[in-house]
Amino acid sequence: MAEPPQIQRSATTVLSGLMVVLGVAIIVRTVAAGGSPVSVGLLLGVLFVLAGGGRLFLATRR
Amino acid sequence: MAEAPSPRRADDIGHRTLGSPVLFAVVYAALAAGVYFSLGVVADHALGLTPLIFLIAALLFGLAAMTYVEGASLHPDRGGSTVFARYAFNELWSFVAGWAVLLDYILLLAVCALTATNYAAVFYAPLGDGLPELILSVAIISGVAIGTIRGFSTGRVRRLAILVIVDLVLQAGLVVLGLATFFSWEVLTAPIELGRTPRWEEVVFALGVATVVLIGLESAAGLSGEVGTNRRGLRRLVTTATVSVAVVYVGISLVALTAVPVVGGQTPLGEEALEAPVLAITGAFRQAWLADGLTYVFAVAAVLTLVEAAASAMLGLSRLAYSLSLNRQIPRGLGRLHPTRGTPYVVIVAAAVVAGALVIPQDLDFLVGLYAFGALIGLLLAHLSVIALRYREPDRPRPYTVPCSVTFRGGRLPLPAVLGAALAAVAFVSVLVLHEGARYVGVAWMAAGIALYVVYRGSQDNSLVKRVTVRESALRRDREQTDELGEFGSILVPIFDNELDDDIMQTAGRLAGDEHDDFDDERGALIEALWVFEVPMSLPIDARLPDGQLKRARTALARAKAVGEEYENVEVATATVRARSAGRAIVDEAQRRGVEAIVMAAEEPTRIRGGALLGGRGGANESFVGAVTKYVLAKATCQVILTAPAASQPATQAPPAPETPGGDLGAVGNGRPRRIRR
Repeated sequence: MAEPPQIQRSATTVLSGLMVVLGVAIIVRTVAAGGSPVSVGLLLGVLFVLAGGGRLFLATRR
Repeated sequence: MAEAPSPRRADDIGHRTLGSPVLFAVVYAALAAGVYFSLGVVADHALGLTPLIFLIAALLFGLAAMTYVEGASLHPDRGGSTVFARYAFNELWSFVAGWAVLLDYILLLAVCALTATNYAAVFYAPLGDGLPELILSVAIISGVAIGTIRGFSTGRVRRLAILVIVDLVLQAGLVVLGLATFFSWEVLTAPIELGRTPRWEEVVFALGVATVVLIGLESAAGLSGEVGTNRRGLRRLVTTATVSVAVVYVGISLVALTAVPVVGGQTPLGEEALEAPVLAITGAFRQAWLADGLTYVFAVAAVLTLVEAAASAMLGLSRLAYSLSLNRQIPRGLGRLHPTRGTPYVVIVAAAVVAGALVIPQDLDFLVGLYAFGALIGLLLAHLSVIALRYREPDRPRPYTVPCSVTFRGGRLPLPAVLGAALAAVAFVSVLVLHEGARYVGVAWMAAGIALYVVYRGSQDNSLVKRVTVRESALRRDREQTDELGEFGSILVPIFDNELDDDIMQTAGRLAGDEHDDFDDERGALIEALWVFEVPMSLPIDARLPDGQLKRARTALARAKAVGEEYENVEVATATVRARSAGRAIVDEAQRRGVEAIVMAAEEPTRIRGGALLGGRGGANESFVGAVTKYVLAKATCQVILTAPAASQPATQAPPAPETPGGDLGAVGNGRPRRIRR
C-alpha cells in the first residue's frame, strides 16, 4: 500500500498531466477549426498548458 | 540535472564521473536532429511509404539499442561497435567497425552543418544556397571543432539536455497539431502503388538511409565508460528511446506526407524542401500567423539542435579516434592530446577538414546515402559481436542482457540481435547495390583505411589481428636487456606542487618505454602530468577558481613538463581536471586516457593515530600512505608506482619491500605491492 505522500504526489502528477493534455487538445481543436491567434479556445488552451506544466514543474522541484 | 552519486551496487555499470543525463542528451540529440535532415531524403525515395520505413527503422533502432546497451555494459570502454568487435573477434574487425563509424561521424558533422544553413535561410534567404551556404557550413564545422578541443563540460551536457527536451516537445506538438489538421488516410495511401510508386529498390534504399537514427547509440556507447546508471536506467533508456523514435519519426512523416502529399510520383519534401523538410510542414498550415510562427520557431530549434548534434558527433569522433590510436589501429600521432585541454586535437582538426571538404558538393542525398553505408557496417558488426560474446564470455557479468534469448549450441543466443544482424545485412547490401556514393566512395574509404591499418601495423611488426598496446609491444622486446620497469608507453603523473614533484617526474621519465612510431618520427613515451583541482561540495563543480590556484597549477605543470622532457624520447602533456576527490579523479583520468601506469608521490601520511591505539574499536591506523594514495592503490586498474617520501618517524615507515633494479623505485598496484623507499 502506497504511503499518503506518495499517493498525493502521484495524483498531482497525473492531474497536472491531464491538464496539459486537455490544453493541447483545446489548442489543436481550435487551430484545426481555423481559429485566430486571439480566439478564446487558443487562449484557454495555452492557460491550461501553462497551469498543468507549472504544477508539474513544481512537483518535480520538491 | 546531475544526479547525486549513488552508492556502488552490484548492478551499477561501474565507477563513473558523469550522470545518466549525458546518455539521454547524446542519444536524443542525434534522434532530434535526424528528423531535420533525414525526412526529405527518405521521402524522396520512399514517397507514400515513408511512415512505414520509419516504423521499420524504429524497430531496427530498438534491436540496436538492446545490442549496444548489452555490449557497452559488458565492456564499458571508449567506443561502441569497435570495442565489441575487439573482444568478440579481433583487432582487424574492430578497426573495420571503428573506421566505418569514423566515416559516419564525419558525415554527420557535414550533414548537420549543411542542413542547419537551410533552416537558417528562413531569416536570410541567401544562406540556403551557393557560396553563403558553404561559408556558413564551414563556419559551423570550425566552431564545433574549436568547441570540442576546448572540452566537454557538464554545463554543456545540461544545456544540450534542455535543448533536446524542448526540441522533442516541439516535434511532438507539431505531430499532434499536424495530425489534427492535415491527416487523411486517403491522401496518404492514394498515391501508393506498390512496386511502382515507390519502386521496391527505392524502398529498400530508403530503409538503409533511415538508419541515420542509429549514430546516437554509437556516441552513447562511447561514453559508457563514464556514465553512471544502473540496470533499470539502461532498460528505461532502451524503451523510451525506441518509443521516441517510433512516435516522433513516424508521426512527423505521417504529418509531412499528408501536409505535402505525393503528386505524380513526387513530393516537394524530396525536391525543393529536401534540405529543410520540416519547414515544408509548418508552411502548409492554413493560418498565416500559425505557419509563420511555427516556421520561425522550428527554424531556430533546428539550427540549435543540428549544431549541437554536430558537436555531439565530433565528441564521439574524438573519443573513437583516440581509442583507435591508443590501440595502435591508426598512427598514434592522430590521437595526440592537447597540452592543456586534454582533447585529441589533431584528429578533431583532421575530421573538421574532411567534413568541410564533404560539404563542398552541397549534395545531401549523397552524404546521407554514404552515411547509411558506414552506419550499417557498424551496426552489423555490433550485432554479430554481441552474439559472439555470448559464447566467448558467457560468464562475464552483464548489467543488461538482450531479452528473448534461446539456448543454442551451449550458449544463450539473443534472437533480437540475430534479427537485427539479418536486417542490417540486407540493408547494407541494398545500399551498396543502389547507391553510387556508397559503392565507390564508401568502398574506397574502407579500402584506404584497411590499407593504412595494414601498412601501419606492418611497419611496427605488429600482428594485424592481435591487440597491440604499448605494454604488449614492450613485452615483446628482450626483457633481459630491458629494465624491468622501463616499459611503459603512457604514464599518468599527478602533480601536487610539492617537493616530490621533480622526483616523480624523473621517476616517470626513467620508466617511460622507448616506444617507436614510424608514422610519427620515432616519438617516445607520453607522460601525462595531471593537476586536480579539488572543488569543495559547497561550490558547483564548474565554479570559478581563485587566480592563485590557477597560477599555482600552471607553474607546477610547466615545471613538471620541463623536468619530464629532459629525458630522451619522452613527451609530456599537461592537463587539469576538476573533481570532488583527487583520488577518484586520478583513477578516472587514468582509465579515460588509457594509461599503462600511474606514477605518484605517496603523500605524507597523517600523524593522527586512531583505532585501537586510542582505545577505539577499530584496528591501528594503517596510514603508511595518505588517503589519496590509498584510494588510487585500491581502485586503479593499471599499475601504480610510488615514490615514497622519506619517513619522518619510525612509526610511519613502510613494511620492507623487495628491491627492484631501479634502486629507488617501487611499484604498487593490482594486489602486487612493490615499494622501495628513497
